[in-house]
Amino acid sequence: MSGAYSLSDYPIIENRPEDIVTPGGVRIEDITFENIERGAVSVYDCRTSKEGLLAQAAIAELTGDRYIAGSLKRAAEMVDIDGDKIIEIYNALRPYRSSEEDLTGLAFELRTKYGAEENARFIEEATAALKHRRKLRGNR
Amino acid sequence: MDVTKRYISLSKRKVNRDPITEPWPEIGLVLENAPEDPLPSIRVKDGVIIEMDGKRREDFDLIDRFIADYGIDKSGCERAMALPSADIAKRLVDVNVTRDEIVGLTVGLTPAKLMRVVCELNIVEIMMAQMKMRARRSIGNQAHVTNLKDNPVLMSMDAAEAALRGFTELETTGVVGRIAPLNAIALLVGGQAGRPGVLTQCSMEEAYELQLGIQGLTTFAETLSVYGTEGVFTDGDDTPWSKAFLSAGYLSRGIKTRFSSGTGSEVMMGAAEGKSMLYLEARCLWIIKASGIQGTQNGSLDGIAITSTLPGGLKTVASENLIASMLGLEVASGNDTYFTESDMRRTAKFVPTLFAGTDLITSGYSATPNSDNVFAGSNVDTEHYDDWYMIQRDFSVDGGIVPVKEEDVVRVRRRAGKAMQALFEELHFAPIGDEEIEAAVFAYSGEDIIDRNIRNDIRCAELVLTEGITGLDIACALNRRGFAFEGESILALLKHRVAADYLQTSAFVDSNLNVKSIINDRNDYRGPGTAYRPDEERIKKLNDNARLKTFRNILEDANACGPDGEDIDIREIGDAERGKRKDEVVIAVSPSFGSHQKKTLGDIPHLRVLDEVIAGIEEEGLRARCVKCYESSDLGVIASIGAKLSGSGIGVGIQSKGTSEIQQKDFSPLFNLELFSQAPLLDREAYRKIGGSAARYAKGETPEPLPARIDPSVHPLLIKSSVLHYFDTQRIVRRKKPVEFTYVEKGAKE
Repeated sequence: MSGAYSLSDYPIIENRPEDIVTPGGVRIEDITFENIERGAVSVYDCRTSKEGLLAQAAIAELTGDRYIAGSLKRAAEMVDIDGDKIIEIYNALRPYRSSEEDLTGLAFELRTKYGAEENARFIEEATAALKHRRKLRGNR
Repeated sequence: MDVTKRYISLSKRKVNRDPITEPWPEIGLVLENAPEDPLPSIRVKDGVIIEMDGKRREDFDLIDRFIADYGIDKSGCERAMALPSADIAKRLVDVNVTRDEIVGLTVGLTPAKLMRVVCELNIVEIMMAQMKMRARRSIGNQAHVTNLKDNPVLMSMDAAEAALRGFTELETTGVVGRIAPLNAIALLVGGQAGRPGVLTQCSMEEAYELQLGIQGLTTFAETLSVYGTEGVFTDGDDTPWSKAFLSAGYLSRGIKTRFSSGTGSEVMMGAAEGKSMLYLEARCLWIIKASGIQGTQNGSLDGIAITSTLPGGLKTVASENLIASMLGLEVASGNDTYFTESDMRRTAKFVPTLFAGTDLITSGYSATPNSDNVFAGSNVDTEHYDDWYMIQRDFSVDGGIVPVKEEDVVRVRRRAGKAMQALFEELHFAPIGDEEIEAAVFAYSGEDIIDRNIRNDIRCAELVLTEGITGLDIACALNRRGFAFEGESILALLKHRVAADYLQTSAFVDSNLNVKSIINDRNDYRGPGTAYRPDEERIKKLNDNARLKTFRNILEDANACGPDGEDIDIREIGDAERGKRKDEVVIAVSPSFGSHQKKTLGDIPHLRVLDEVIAGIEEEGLRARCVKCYESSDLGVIASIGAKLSGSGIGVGIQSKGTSEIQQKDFSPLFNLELFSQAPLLDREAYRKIGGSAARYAKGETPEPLPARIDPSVHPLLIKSSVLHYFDTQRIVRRKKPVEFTYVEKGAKE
């Protein structure tokens, strides 16, 4: 991502496509049937990119929307997290599923393994809230 | 008790089958301001909210804490909360206060305060506020596309037709959960065949839905439900954190995401804690906002069958949509659940959102007959398309869909079916036969199609998951098989996923495959003449109607002969003289009668009109004389001319459109003996009776007036009547005296 965005950069796909590199390392304009048939582009390249999400977060922030910006930043951290892992953490955050240690462990994993600082903090805050309202495992 | 016939009739009206209730706060059956609702309050200390809506931080439940920590704007809340509710309500309807200013203020308001603010507004003020507060400038609409048989061929075609009609988004689900991947594919392929860029969804259990999104088979999700009490949230096996985490997971896969909420849900779940529906909904909306999710589908949704039973219920539903917009959220504003048998109530339900305009006016217009709607039926379905179009036309509003030609519907339905056929072949799925396609193209509902072996389709659906068949595979297969148009659209949607432009608030993909959202299409309403107004091209589309042909054909139609080709040949004899015989009745007709117009509004050939009136006169032993008036087409005038020329002093005036009266020579033209004003109701027998009555007047009798017939349903013919009268008037010849004539049936032997 090449730094500052302005609102006129939106839509990014039109105005700043060079900023986006797909998870497979190709550029958006290279996603063509020709390249797919040649095997140069795969489904992996059609996944949402971290750069794209961060660019959108920056755009949202420019409009003063810290809410959208926040979730997009958390989403950007999740690009590299497996779908199964996301579902696992989701389940862990449901009521009466996890102990405090389980959740602390997940936050640690997010922070160290995935560099997902925003998400790690989010889990820690959830832990405190669930503990306070007795929604941890065994509290029922 | 004695019963009146009117009450008996009223009791049979469909509206009286709709359930109604009275407030019952203990179970949460109360719209707003329940005794248990807290008073609005806020206290911030060191950047932390330590009190909200009368509760201290240590007593916060999960929802309070989530809203307080991630939602409420801590820098502005004390200032915003200090404003009287009525003051904020006035700003909502003040065109000089912008949407963005209101959003900036609203994020400082607690749920209890939000409820109080919108309670200040009446329905028209809610609509004015909604018009200003909608996130996006342009409006949209969403369709439900399902069928009871989970038939992928029919589903793809219904998706294509819905997309062609203009729906921004399409939503499906499955009767059988395991077939969902196939349904998602049917919507994806059919949708793009109808209109490139249409976004699609398959509503399923959350993890399942995420998987479909990850594989690129869907583009949006909206089934993440939130609730207003901790109890219901817990019963739903979620916490605000679990929902917020999962939704960010959706975003990470490029799935446009909105949450679901709505008044009445806590009552249904039996844990409203005595709080009012609107207060709880304000909490839901705050959870959504605090999660950083761009939008909501709300407006009671399934709860409408509860909310709508209370006095003020539908106003409350409109105000919950407004709260969402005030928070800056995209709103798919309900109108998606069947709740009444009354067509008038059904219409009244969507009027506030249709007229004000929301991001998506319905969150599920049933693009199939309701009998095939797996979401238990919508407020409006395929039966109502033309009503909806008419209402758009009547009020010059854009409800997101436009009339389309039947031939185009057939074309895109067949195209969708053929694309599915090719795709299934490429994927080695259970084949789709040509006859299946043809049956589904022309089907009314799933009743009319050729059934498939659903077990085979389920096996194919399971393959989609186990083999990881993706949107890209589908795009490539379609492209290979000559469906480049659909293939390119799907590929374009996948490219959009990479850049994530459509994750911004209120995003959609237009027909040119460009993303529009609050960022480049922000609602900028500043009063009359500003913000979204349909442009000329759009208005033309909105106003188009196949039935306009009828209007354009009116004259041609009037010129046409009678139903059996009965045409009249009028033969003018010369200037009409004043009659001397007391036993005559003069029939005076208007300028174009029988010459430039050939039949009445009631479809009676002019030939037969004269035949019958004359026969009626002759049956009374009198004789008739026919006169054509050229100086006027006015019924009063021509009837008076006839009466004055008549030896008996009695004349019958007949206009080309069929309107008639019996006149007496001494009356002023504005008065008459008898007037027969509703021409469409005059049949041959009526004309015969008119002749008979006229003759009896001529004999000096006082006949009983002919029975009046009034049928309001002929009133729409007024426009045709006006046009025919205009053409009659065009045939006036100034200072040309009345001419006596005889006539024969054209072509008949003489």
